[in-house]
Amino acid sequence: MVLEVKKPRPLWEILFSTHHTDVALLYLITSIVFILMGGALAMTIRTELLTPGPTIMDDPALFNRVFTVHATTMLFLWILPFISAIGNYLIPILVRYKDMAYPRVNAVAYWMIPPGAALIWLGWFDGGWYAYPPYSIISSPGPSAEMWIFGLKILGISSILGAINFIVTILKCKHPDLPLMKTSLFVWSILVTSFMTLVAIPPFAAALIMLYTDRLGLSGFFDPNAGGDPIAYQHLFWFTFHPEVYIFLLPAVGMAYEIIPKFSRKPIFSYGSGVIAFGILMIIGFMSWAHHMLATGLSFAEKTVFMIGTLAAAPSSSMHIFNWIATMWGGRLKLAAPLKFTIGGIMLFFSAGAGGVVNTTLPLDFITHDTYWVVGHFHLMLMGTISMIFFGFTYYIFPFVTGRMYNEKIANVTFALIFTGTIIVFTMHHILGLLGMPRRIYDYIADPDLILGNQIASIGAYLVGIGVAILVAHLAIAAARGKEANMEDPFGIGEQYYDYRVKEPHH
Amino acid sequence: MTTESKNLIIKSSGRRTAKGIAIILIVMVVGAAISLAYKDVWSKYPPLRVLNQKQQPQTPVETIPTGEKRTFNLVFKESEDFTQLWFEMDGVKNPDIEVSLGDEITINIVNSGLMPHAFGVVSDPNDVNSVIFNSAIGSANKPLSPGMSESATFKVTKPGEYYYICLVPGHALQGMKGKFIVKESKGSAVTTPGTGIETSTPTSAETSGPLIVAEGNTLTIDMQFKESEDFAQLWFESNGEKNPTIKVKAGTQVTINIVNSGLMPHAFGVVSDPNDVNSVIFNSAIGSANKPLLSNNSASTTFTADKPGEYYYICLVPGHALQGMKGKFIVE
Repeated sequence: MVLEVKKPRPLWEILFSTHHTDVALLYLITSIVFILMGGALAMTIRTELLTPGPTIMDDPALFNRVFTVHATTMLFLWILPFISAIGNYLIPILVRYKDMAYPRVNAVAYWMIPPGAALIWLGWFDGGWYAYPPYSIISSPGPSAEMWIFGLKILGISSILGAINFIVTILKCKHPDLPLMKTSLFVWSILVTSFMTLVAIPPFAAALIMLYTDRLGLSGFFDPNAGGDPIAYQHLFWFTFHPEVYIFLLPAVGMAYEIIPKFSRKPIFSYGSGVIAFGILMIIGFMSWAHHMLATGLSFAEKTVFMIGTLAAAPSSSMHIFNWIATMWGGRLKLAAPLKFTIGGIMLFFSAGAGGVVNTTLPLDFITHDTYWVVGHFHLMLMGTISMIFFGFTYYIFPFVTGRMYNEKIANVTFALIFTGTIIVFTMHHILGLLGMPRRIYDYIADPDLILGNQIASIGAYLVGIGVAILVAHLAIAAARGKEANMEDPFGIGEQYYDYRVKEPHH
Repeated sequence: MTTESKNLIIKSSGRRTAKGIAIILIVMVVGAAISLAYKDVWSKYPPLRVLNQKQQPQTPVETIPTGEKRTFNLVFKESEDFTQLWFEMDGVKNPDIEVSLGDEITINIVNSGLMPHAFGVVSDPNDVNSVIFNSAIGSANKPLSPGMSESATFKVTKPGEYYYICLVPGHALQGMKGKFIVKESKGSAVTTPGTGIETSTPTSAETSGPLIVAEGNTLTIDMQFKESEDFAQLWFESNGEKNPTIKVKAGTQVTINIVNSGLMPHAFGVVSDPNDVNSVIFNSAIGSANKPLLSNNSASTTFTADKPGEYYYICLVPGHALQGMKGKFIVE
């Protein structure tokens, strides 16, 4: 399944290796396993909403548990491990070092994911991935909630270890002949997100502990009966998870910067503006957390500040988009699967951003708040943009991982299915939201418009599901029987590819 | 890259890859199976704080006389417009249930309405979490679906006056509430089976409170919107009287000066049907459901009551009349 250098190693040696490409392989396989499992839950959710009333589940509480585990899985067990996978593969190559700075810490960071994932998947917590009090502290059943809390704590520590490792590798282990301003923009994206991780995770780590002691009855931080404030939790939560949105997004942007110049056979239009836009987004990520809470009774001044802080993300995001367009402009495009997925991702990035502008505009937020509009908006970002570019990058990195090629025709089919499916399901979510369908619900009014909208959305979701299933199955088969790749230029674009010789194990 | 180094590439054979994929699939399937099979195991208990709270009041165990076995058959009922909800037993609305200490009670309940409901004997009718005797059938989170029936058997272990209500929040306020009285009996139970049920009069909303009668052709009333601290009870107050009945002669010019001394928005209107906030008559409205009078504001209205009949004055904000903001307005 994997390209090796010099001698084939037994499975356990790969499993317990500290070499960056081996750890990256584990991250990659983990993330793909969990997108399948989280995707299965997504299909369950869409099937349940196919008709009003109970469709396949009798118990509304089960629905809550399913969407909680779906969200937690997709965010922390698909997107974050995938970023770590690609970071582990490419950062040492791009900064020209033999490995990550701390190889053992790297392996430990990976091995914290399975126990964290096991806690989340065994517990089936029912309070939503946001775990808002008071529900999560006074009535969410235990010990599943405790399992979720500790699962997320473990994953948070894993993220921090990974972030420290990336920062030290990039800043301290970079080849002395290579200035930071000459590295790939992907390196910049990982550097920026690692700094954001270090700042963003601790408040939520604290909030989780407070949630836990509140559940034990030892404290009442978020319990109004004990003088606490549930809104305080939301501030802590979103102070972590709004930057986290950029932690998810920026690596995808960095991957697009890897793919687009190569498949356009042109250098990046403006390297400097890419770096500046990363820097601005890093700051803005921390300036706009309360836009998730515009409807919680903030004062008008606070709301205005956070509305403007949020809108400030639009220009720097556009800097990236225009940078990509200008790079592709006049280039000799090789429309292979990686570039197709990336372009699809850019298109949906624009749509998601436009929806975001609507969300943050104060009067409109009160219409869209807590409706399916919001679900459509952030799924366009997480699925339509981030996951689309990730799928493209999976195809791009595939020859480097396995030494074999995927089939371009099948890749095109998966692109068509995933792209159209994503548009159908998440555009429909926006419309359902405007029709007044609240989010996170198991049942809805038997109104013909709502039924039709939900059924169209479910069909779109099934298209995505089929597309991802074909993608993963095809890559699994291609890893075993695919055509051997030309390791110097597998895509035939005349650009340099990553040197497979770094895979030689050295410790 | 030289041809030398090319010779060193080893690409996994199909068989080795298939082995790897098989291992991943087995881990996935086994993991998912364990996770799904035991999905309920880890969510059996309430949060520890709740468990701790329950253990605190350690009352000494009293010896409870063994009583009789009694069975009550209740039905959840709803009016067609869902504004009135009640329990029914043998055709009686919300009967008082009277039992003796130590009796073993069996409640058979049928949900014949269209909404989900749940049953429980509670110590505080305004708190759906105050269920006692382990008497709950369903809960607010897991209510009895329409058409379903279920039963519960429990022992009454403490004398006192309790209530049986629907545990879905708000339903008790809409009328799903009856008295559940546990009498202390010495020795063997005295009451004969069957007499435990008192055919109580269906609680009528027509509470004839204090009276305000118009003298002459004009009447001016100073009124206030009032709320209880927990917002469960709402009422009008005039000169310290709760929801006074207003009696005027046809053609009287009535002036209402009203102050909202609560924290919620309210609106005033004389209506022909107390369950319909759109049935305002005499042009008597102060504010409306969409544009109510905010907290600490006051307003007044003057209108001529020109048509004889029995009307009501209510708060026009939907639901407030049900919570008590309702009084009679009689035009003679």
